[in-house]
Amino acid sequence: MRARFELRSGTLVTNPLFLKVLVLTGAAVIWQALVYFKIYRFGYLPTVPQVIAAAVDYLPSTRFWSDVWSSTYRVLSAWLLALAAGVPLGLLIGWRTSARNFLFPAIELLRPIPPIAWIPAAIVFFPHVEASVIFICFIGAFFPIVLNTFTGASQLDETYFRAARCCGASELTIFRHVVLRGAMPCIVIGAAVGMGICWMAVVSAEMIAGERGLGYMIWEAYSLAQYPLIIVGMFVIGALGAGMSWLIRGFEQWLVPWQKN
Amino acid sequence: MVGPVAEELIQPLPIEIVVRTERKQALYAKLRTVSSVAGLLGIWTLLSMVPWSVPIPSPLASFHALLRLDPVMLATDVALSCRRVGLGFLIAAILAVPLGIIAGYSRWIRNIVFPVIEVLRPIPPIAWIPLAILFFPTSESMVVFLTFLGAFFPIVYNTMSGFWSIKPMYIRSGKSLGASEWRLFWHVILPAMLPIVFAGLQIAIGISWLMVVAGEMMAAKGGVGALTWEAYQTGRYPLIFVGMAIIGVLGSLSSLLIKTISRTISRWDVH
Amino acid sequence: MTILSARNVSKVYNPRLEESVLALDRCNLEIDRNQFCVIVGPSGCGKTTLLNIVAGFDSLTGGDILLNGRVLASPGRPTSPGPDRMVVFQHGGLFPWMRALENVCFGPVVRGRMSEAQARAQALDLMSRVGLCGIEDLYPEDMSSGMRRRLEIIRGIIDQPQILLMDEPFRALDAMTKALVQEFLLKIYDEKPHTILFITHDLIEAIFLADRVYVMTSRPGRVKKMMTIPLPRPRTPDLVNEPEFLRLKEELTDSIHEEAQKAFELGEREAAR
Repeated sequence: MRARFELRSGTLVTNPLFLKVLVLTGAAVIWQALVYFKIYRFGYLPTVPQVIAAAVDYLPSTRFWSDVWSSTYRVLSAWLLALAAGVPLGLLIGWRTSARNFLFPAIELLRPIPPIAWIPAAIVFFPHVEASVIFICFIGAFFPIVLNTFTGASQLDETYFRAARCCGASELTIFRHVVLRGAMPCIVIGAAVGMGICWMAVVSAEMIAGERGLGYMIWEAYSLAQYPLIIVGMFVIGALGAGMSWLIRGFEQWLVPWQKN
Repeated sequence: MVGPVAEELIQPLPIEIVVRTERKQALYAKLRTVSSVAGLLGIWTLLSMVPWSVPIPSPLASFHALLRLDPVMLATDVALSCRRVGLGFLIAAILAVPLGIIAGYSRWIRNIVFPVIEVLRPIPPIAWIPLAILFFPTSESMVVFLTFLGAFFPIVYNTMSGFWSIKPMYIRSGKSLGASEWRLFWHVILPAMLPIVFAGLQIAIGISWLMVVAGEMMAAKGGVGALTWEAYQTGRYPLIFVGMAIIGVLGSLSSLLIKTISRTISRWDVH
Repeated sequence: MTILSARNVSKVYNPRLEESVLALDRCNLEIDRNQFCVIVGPSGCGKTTLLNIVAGFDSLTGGDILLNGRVLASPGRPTSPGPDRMVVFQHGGLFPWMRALENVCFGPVVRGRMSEAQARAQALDLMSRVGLCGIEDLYPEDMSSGMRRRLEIIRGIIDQPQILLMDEPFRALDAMTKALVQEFLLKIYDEKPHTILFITHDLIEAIFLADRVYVMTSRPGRVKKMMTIPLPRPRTPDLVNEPEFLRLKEELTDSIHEEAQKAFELGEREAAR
């Protein structure tokens, strides 16, 4: 393809990373202008220097690390629980039609209820805040995991099962070596999606109900009128969420080495 | 039918095979669905009988709470939430689909717009709520902005993805048949993209619903999310479950709507 | 000595419903020890159904099947698949998530017949003897289609089955690869004969490989004719041009053509419904 912006000065302008930084700086400049000149209601929002100052103040502090730890701990616990419950369940209903007929309607009935809708119920009926937040995140991760695992297991070619039976494999062996391993690519997708929803859920649960964590921090910053901190918090949450998804995708290489994407 | 079945070829079959005719199998399938739902309600009832610190309302109590609701108020709430979702979603679709297409065509636009989107996308829409409350004068506009936000990113991404997934073969066929750029777009590219775009729309409306509920629970007046939240605040616990059920039903219906529209428009698509 | 014997085997699908279909109509078949037996017939004639019944993937509704003199399958008492009747499938028989060596060792290891180390050693030895060394660590997706077929054949014979069932295994290969894999199979067969039941619709392949060819009619499938192939082994590719081969091919073609015509018209009628 013709490079349309070849300058005599070389390839600096065509470097994709440089372009990205340039665009983002430009966006920050536009933001600053909107706030500074109080265009529409942008005057209510914090300026770029304010946000940077808040970041410099907050990020190295212990408060930051305890917030990150709280949220991460909740997300990881819920996510691991959802995997422990969801993967076996998904494999079972994908493998055995009888299980699917019996369990699928109930799952489909509960699935449309978003995690955030569970929050009032969770707050009321769980004795501890921690448990209720983890429960919300669990609900968020559980359904994508079950559904994707189910898809993975049910889409396996019948021939694999026939080949395994010919080899003399027992049903348990088939479950381990055919169903579980065969469904692994879909399980990984479900785990990644579940992690993403877990993050959304933890933020909403902490904002509404938690006493700790990044979501709570943002809400507190709002109620204490520390507006620049809100934006810092938003970016931290975004970065952490992206980081965790990236980690999971990294595991994909290890868990599913036979798939070329 | 391939000729009469010679009876002497069939030796007596075991009882199980004779019983399992098609009609009976359909009956069994229905029975299993019913028992699945019944099982769920049963577990719920059992949980409601456990002596928690705060007892969980039973399905029956929740059903009564549903009946005691003023239908007019309920309808107003539902209509309000639907309107907010619809508005935000439509604005997002109208903005995001063309953006995705243009970004597919033009590398310049992509390089300018996408870094910003890449940075903003990982931020869960929920985290935008405090900022949105600050910025938007009315709670109504705030909630619509949230639904817009929830829908925007999946639609842009899926539109781009749909654009890039078009088989070059289709484009080559179109060009070799002498299609102009505009005809190529309208008759080849757009239809080819549609299935993936609609998949994005389905994801987007789900997230929009999430955002409406979140926004209503945190700051707005009226709507099903607010209904659920008020039920919590006023201690009318059975109503919480009613609210959850309504939210679930509305979410499913909106997904179904998109799916039906997509199937009507892309009748040729196998999905 | 007869290894496999099918006596008046019939298969009816949906016997009590209106859309019942007679797939197999009193088929009779006999395969002797170490004999290479091929079934040919038009599409939809039921040859795969017959193989599935022997393999244990399907049941029969009439007649019975004997393996080594003992009843293997009869109406109401179907058999289940097992390593004594290993199957080589058309595709999808190898597990994509296992490397080549693991695929081959799968059978012996899961049955506990030998330890993993023993299985690996035996598999490697077998693979090197047939010229498949160097691919042990490849995933099936990274292998060529010819390699995959050969690997599946190896997996089929490593456990020394009583009969090897092959369901149109070379159908999806291009002509050159097909010829090479056929030679591969014959080389293995010459070195250590197995009892083989091979299904194909390719007449040249049938005569080239077989000791005995069964011709099946279009649906409902019946064994129309049994042809003995007296060609000497080992069989070389240029055998295809010999007058004896051509004579056999003509005989087979005449027999098949009529059935193929019927099957074609049947398909047209069914598609039109």
